[in-house]
Amino acid sequence: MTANSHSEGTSTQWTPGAVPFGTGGDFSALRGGDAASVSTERAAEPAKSAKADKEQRRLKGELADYPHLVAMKPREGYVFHSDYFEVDGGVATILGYFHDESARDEFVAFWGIDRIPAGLGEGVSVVLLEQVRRMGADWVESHIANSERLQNLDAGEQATAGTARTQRKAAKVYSDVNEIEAEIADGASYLHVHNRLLVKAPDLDALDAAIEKIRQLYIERFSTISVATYPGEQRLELASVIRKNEKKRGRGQHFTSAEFAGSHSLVTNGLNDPTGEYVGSMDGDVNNSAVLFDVNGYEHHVVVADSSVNVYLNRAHIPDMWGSKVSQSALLNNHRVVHLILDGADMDTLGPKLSGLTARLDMNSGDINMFELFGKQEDELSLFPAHLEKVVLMAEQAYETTDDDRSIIRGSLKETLTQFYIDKGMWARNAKENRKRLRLVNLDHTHVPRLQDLVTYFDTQYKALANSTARDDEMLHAYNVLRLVFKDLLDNNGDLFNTYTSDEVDGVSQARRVLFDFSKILLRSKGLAMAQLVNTVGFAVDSLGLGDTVIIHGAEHIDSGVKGYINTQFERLFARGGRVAFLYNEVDEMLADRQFNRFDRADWTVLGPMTDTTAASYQKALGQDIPPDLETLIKKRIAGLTYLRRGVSNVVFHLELALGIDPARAKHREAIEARRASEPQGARQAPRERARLGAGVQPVRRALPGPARLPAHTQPLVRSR
Amino acid sequence: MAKNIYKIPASIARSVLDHEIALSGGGWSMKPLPVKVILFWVGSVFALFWVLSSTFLKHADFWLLALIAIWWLLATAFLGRYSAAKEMNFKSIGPLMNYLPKSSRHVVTRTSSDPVPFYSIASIDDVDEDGYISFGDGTVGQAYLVVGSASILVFAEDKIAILDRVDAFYRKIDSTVELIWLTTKEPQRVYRQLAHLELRNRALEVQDPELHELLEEQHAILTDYVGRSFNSIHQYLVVKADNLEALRKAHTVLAAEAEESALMIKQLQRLDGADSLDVLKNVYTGTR
Repeated sequence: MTANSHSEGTSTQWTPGAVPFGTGGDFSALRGGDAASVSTERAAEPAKSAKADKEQRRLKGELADYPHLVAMKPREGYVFHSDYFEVDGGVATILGYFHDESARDEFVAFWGIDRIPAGLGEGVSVVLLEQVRRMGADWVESHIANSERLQNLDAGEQATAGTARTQRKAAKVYSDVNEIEAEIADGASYLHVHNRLLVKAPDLDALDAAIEKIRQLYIERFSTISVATYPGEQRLELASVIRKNEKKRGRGQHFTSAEFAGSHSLVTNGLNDPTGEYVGSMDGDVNNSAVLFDVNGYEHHVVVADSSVNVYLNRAHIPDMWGSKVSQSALLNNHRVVHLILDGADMDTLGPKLSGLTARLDMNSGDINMFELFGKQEDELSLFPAHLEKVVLMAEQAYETTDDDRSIIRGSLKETLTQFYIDKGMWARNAKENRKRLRLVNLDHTHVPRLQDLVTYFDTQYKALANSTARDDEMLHAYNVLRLVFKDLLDNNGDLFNTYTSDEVDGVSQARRVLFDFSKILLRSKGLAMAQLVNTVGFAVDSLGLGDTVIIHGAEHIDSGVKGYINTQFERLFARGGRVAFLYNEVDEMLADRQFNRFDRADWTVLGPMTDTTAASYQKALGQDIPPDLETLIKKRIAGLTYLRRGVSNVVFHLELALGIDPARAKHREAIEARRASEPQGARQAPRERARLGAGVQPVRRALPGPARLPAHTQPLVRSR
Repeated sequence: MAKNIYKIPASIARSVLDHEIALSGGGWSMKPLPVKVILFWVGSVFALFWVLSSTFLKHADFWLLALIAIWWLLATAFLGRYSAAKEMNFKSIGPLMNYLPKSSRHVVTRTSSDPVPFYSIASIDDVDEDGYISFGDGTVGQAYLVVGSASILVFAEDKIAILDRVDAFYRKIDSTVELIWLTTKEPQRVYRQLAHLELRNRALEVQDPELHELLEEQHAILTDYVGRSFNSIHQYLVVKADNLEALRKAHTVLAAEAEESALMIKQLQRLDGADSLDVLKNVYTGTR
């Protein structure tokens, strides 16, 4: 069976998102009327003599007259041998499962999964069949009685002539039967189960090898279960696949429902989101499938932490690749994205340039005046105190306050700033009463005062205090600190802070994707970078709304002093329905930063390989033990191994992120670039405009034949640091 | 209640014939044998005496009789032994006889050939458009695609919840249906992802060629890579019910199980006729 046959042939039933039983109603309502009436007749008269039935069902004509048989049949036919049969140019066999009654098993939960063989060689395929029927109450009743009689007989027998072997077996049977009786008394049902394994191979040698492999697998996994064919009965076996259990060869096995639950083998298909895209292939679980993950499927925030780098992408951090992926999927779902880049991630190597959608702001060139306020006019009253907090926080990045002088320095700074804004005609005392005199926002950028205007205030105040007769040493200290801090900002970092807001910034709130790059300024000084981050973050997230995303690359670089402020900004963003992605280039740092990233409550988390101690602290932080198999996997420290946790789903997979930089499609992208370059400037500026004008929707088409394997650079050839 | 360790328990469907006894007497004892083996030997020896003393063989020479007796005993020893299939070998005689005629070993399934031989193997009377299956033995059925949530990577409490849920499921199932679970490995299906990709494409507000290129790359990966390279486990359920009423009941239990919790059955999808035949075809045809 192929995927195609399914996907194409069943378009009516398998529509995406269809609820399997959404149409409701009972069974016959879902079926064609004719068929229903015919089968009701059959149900009404189930008892026919077997002979008459057989006579009636004697088929006439040729096979072509029975389309359903034609749909199932092999091309030519079967040739049955003693323990295999030939079909469609290959061979196949049906194996039965056998178990010694006296063997003591120690199977773990879901042991049925272990029956699914793997790695049987090229061209070999298997179909595992399990047929279950619940035995009726009468049957169970009579067999329990019979079993008890036998047990009594056995007890006498063992006492007189039992050997060690028979006694052991009798004891096993005795305890089993007792347990079964107890479970049935507790309400369990009693089930008759037949298991078969259909193995198909291209030739006899491959079949023999496969069977040998299966035997070895079962010895490894169970040690008490063996497989064998019923000699000369392949035809009967094949015919009884769909026959009732009682018609099958052998006696099968009996379980209580409680016991049978342990062999439950309906496996998970891992992450297989209907809206998902390929992010890697699953590892470690029984079902090794492609992970189809809806990267955009989160409401609040997500966390990625991985210390690996991708050597093919200029040693890019894996979390930055995730950042690019998160960004792309948000854009494809019509959301806006803001990247706050603290770790030097070069977004142009991690995905297409998206130049038509992107605004780039290099925070090393001071594009935003720290004294300018952004927001709506009606929010002026609340904007101002928040703005003062921001400037205070920025100042504190340059000067470490102590518990003793913190409040006085803050107070003095706020006092001076308020006076400063009043003098500049932007603010007024008793602002509520004087709303008309406020003009905080929507000013021309060049009308907003700059750092150089403020510095003189501190000088003046300091001199006044120093010369005052009623001398306040604390106050003097505060103003001295402020004077020096702001003078330093002006003299040494004036290029960053003593600037007018650049006009480019105005376009930012329209762009679909905005990149704020703090990497260079971080090299200059961490304090400065944090000051600039604080200066920017409010502005950056201000225009984001429902479903829009802020992505922090290298969140471990954020100083703990400014996290409170950033959190406040994010809280506002969350209230508007915005989302945040925290990317850490170190798992330990992410764990230590729990207060900030709240990874335990993230919609999904992606973690790279962990060490023993990291895994231990992760479990402690999560307040939950990781399943042992999962723990072994995530501690393997295999390059590219990624652990994804979303709700109760845990998936470990080999990361293969496709970021739109596949070399096989490079020519296609170059053509797009060339086309874009030749386009008039105006058309590039207003993608929204064009969308509104109705640029025709083109279907996704296969422009280029895709690679059979993903190209090398999307392969997870990464190394842990 | 979920257990820590599971097993295949001894069955309560035992008969006296399976009961093992050890013959002993006068300080001499044999290894324990099931009653049916002992009875088989006794019957065989009696038959041997009858054959040697009452049939035409009674006139034969002594050496011939001795040879026959030896052969008979060897055959009894062979047929009375347990095979790999845990059955006495004599049970294979019947199938062996059936196996001998060429017609039962060669089944021709060309479209122009007689339908009876293939029907005797795949005895299905009809599969209608909706996937309603009428089996040759008078039972009726329906096939489903099922996805569970069993995995070695589930947390302990989820594991217990799944086990309890499965136990409860089999308590609800009636004794009038049989559930045939089929596990196969097939290429991963990506049609839902492709459909959503197309929806995303149509909903795209910004018609940017680079975004479009991203969608195309995803499309290429889904169809050319995921759809071709990944063989994942696919599981199906064929419900085989004694009558339509029983089938309805089983369907209700199954649907409820899938709707109420994702523990035992995470996804349940009724297969229509073509899909059901595809599932069955996988059993009756060779590798493709």
